[in-house]
Amino acid sequence: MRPRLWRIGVELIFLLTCLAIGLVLSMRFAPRPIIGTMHFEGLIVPPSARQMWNILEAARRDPRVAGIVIEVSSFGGDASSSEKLYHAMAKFRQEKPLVVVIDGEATSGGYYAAIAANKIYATAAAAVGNIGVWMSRPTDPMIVPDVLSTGPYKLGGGSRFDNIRQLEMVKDAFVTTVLHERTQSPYNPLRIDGSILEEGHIYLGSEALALGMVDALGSISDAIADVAMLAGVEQYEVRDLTEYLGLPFQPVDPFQVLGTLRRTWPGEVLLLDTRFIPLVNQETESTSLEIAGAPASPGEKTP
Amino acid sequence: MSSAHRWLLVLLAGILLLALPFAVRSALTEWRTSPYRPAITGQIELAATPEPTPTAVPAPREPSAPVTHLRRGVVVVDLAHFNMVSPSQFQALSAQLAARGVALRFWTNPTPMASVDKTNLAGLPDQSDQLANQLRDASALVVISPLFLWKDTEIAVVERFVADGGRLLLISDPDMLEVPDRFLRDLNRLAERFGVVFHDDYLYDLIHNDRNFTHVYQSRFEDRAAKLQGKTIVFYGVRSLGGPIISQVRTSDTVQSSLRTGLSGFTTVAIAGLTVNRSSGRVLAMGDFDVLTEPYVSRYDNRLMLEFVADFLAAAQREQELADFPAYLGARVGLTFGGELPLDAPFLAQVSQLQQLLETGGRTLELVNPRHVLLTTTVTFHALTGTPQPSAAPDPPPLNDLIYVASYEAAERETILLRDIGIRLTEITPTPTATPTPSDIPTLGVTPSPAGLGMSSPALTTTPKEEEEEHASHVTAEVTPTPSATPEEEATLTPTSTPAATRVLETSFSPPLLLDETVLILRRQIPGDTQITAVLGSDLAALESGLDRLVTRNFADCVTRPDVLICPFQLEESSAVHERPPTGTPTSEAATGQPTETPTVQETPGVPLGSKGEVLVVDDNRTATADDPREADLYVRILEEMGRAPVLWHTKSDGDPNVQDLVGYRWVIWSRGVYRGEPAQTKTLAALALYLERGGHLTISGRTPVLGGSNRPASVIADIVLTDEVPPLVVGLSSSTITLAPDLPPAVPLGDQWGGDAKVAMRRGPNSADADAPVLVALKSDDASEEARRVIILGMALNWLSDADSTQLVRNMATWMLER
Repeated sequence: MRPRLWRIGVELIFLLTCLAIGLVLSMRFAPRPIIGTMHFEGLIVPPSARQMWNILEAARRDPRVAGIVIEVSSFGGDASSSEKLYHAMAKFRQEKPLVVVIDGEATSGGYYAAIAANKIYATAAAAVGNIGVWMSRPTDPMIVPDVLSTGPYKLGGGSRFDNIRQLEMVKDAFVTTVLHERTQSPYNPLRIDGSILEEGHIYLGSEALALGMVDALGSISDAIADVAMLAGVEQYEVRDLTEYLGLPFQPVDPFQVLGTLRRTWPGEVLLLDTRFIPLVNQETESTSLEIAGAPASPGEKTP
Repeated sequence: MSSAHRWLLVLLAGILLLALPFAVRSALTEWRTSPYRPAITGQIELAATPEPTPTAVPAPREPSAPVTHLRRGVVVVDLAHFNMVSPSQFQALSAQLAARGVALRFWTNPTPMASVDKTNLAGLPDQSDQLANQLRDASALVVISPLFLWKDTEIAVVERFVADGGRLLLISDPDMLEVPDRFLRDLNRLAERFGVVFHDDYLYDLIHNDRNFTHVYQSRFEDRAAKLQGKTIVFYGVRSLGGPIISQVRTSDTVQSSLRTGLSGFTTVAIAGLTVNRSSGRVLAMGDFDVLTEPYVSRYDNRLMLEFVADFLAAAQREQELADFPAYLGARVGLTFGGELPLDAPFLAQVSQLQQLLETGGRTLELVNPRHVLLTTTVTFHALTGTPQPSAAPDPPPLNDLIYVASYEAAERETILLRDIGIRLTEITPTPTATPTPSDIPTLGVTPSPAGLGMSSPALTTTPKEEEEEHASHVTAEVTPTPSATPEEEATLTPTSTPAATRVLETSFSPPLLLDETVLILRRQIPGDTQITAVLGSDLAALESGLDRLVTRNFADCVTRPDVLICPFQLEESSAVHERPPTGTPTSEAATGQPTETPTVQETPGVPLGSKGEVLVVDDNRTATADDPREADLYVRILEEMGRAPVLWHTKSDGDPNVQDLVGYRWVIWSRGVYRGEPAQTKTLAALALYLERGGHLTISGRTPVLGGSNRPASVIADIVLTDEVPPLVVGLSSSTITLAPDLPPAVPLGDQWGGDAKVAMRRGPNSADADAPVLVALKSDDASEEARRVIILGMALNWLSDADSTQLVRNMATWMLER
């Protein structure tokens, strides 16, 4: 009888030991939900927007990723890429929480992307807003001596007033989207109307908080906690998203795209922060003139 | 169950328990304490109805051209300050102005933009002279967003223009500057002189706009623009105006300023001007130019704004001055000559130029028989209206303006033009230093004839004594030394004892003016809006000078009084008298009571070239020293060796020859040789010019040439290179490169800029200073006649060449100059 009891005791001890070891090892090595973080900076143009879409889509499909925090530091870019980034982030948000932390500035197209987040954090001194659009001054249809086209607007895309109207439409879409997103913010809904938004102010983070353009002042730590809470996870890992997914993000240097901008047709819509203009002007004067759509001859003006 | 089996089961259970936490944790990875519930934000409504291509509506009816006989003053557009506009932007405004009979003219700057220093925006050269020329026939000036600052002298010209009734349109458009430097947009430097300040802002309206916040509606129209009330006018990028202005157009309350925050109701169009510079109401300031250009001008009622501006510009009624000739004249202008005025070819050519000038401005100049013109003491002017007009002309413009050309005597006799401005003819007789004996005059072999000289006038009240003195004075004027005379003979021939009665214009506003050295240009307006422009002088040469001033509008050295220009006449009196027939006075014996013998000098204009001799060598030795070699002597010697018979003239003893002295010779050699030069007198240059005009052949020779030298300092010639441009001039010379002796004095380089007829036969060699500068220049007029003008300028002393070369060169010159 005694030997049997002894043997049972040993077996139980063994099994409990295995369980304890399993628990200990699982706490250390078993997979846990991931709160992904990444830093988005630079110009929002097709190359950077494409990279972001890839990352967001991979994170959305990855079951371990419970949510993400994106630090945004961007003064915008072209309208279409900014809208693309907004839609990619909004799609992610439909399935997993996404919180944005404005790191320095999220203006113009940068802010356009940020409003897709569940919650926006900013620091008190961050630059926020600058809602609006600009483009090179449109020109009128003209005959190009060496080119034969099939319609008056085939070469230019539209009349001067077509371009002006389209510029307003892009601006209206921008303002409407901001109003749509921010007025429904559960944390700090927007407190100003569209007419003020479209003035294009750049607000400090503290001002933006007061106006309801951001939800809170805080850092990435706050954002991570919020994402975990929104995701309903208590045990989670915080991982750099680009490393975890193996999809590095390469910011676009504004000066690398100057050549592209130089080739921009008048009337192509751009979404650029006003402070981008001085950056452009750091190059040659001719560069600034070309980008501004000014004629080569100072005696000519293209209104 | 065996013990081994039991332990195996325990081991398996242990392994399961070991793995169980991994399995459980892995299974619960996607488990959430609370499920994520994304916010339901709904769809964003971004739909926009695309705008269809608008249905075309008929373009505004083109206005018909106004029925005017005379082109009105042009509107000058400043592009000379590299303004940020292009001529193509003025098409709409140009069409509106054309409908009002006003043309648009662009004042451009010929300097390429690339060569302008854009870092010094105040560094554009002064253009006030060009501006004054541009505004001479202008009625309005348009200045839009200049890149370079206006200078004070230029602004002064504009101030005077506006004070005279010209109109000024100032536009500073905020979207016209691409260079981010607010210093550039400082149109205020000009505008503030007229009480206008352009604020450095732009206006915007986020609520009511034409598709862009900078495209703002104008809502209030006041003063002259009140007729636009109720119309839809939109400005496309506009700045606000300030200063003592009369607002014409204001923005609505929803329009805001980028700079003047908190304000509304901004003035965007204003009438301005200050009493202090007589510009009140003559300045229109606008903060937008786009509204005047396509396609913006075609939107809404913007064309009415364009018409408002065009009306303002076209309504200018400038008070043109005499200096603005012929801008104040009508479409048909008559030209008449006072007295009996025989005209010579140069004078007719001057009249032709006057005619061309008037025709350029759309005017016609018609010669009018003086008998059809009555300029009496009441200054009526009616005969022209009686001129029958051809019936084919449906609506001829009235011939109501007149250019009157006459001598002072004729003007005083026929009109009251001189009296009206307080001028009368009289004489001043200085105290005589000696009294000529009657026998002095006959010994000169000259028969004086005051009548022939045409200086007596019934308008002049002269005593017999005065007439005698006048008579004597003319004799004095006729007498000139004969070039071939010896100094001793000249001394006896020069009359110095007769006091000359000086004819003067006695004025109420100045000391007497020497009649023979004064040209008066008057402007009078008489009832019926008839403009009379009178050119008065002492003789035909003076009148020609006056007409030339009118044609070239060169009044720089004239004294200006209201509607009177008092201009100096520099041509030497005696030569002018001799070469010109008398003016404005009857020449009949009955009129003068004097015999009608023709003075010898009156034959001068008809003297053919070569009648006095073939070659005149003028030794311009006024500055010569005793040691200077005489180049003129060399010329004379070589010519004599050639069988010619040159006449030698020394300026030191004979004075400068006048045109009368020159015209008798086919070839005049003006020799300075190695002498130290001094500027030639104006009358000497004029005499040389007149000589050439008569078809003379002239050689200028010397290291300081009287004609043709450049502004460069004198420099040493070491060698000469011959060219093949004028082979007859260099044929037979010793070498294609001639080396000169060392230590020669410096010579003034000849100019580089010559007319198309000029050929350079010799140039400075590579060892010379100013290498390649011309040394021997030959000019030949295109005239195929015998008397075609020919000029040779030798920019060195002939003595510097070897005997053989100098002889050959003079032979070549003689052949080239005297060949028929």
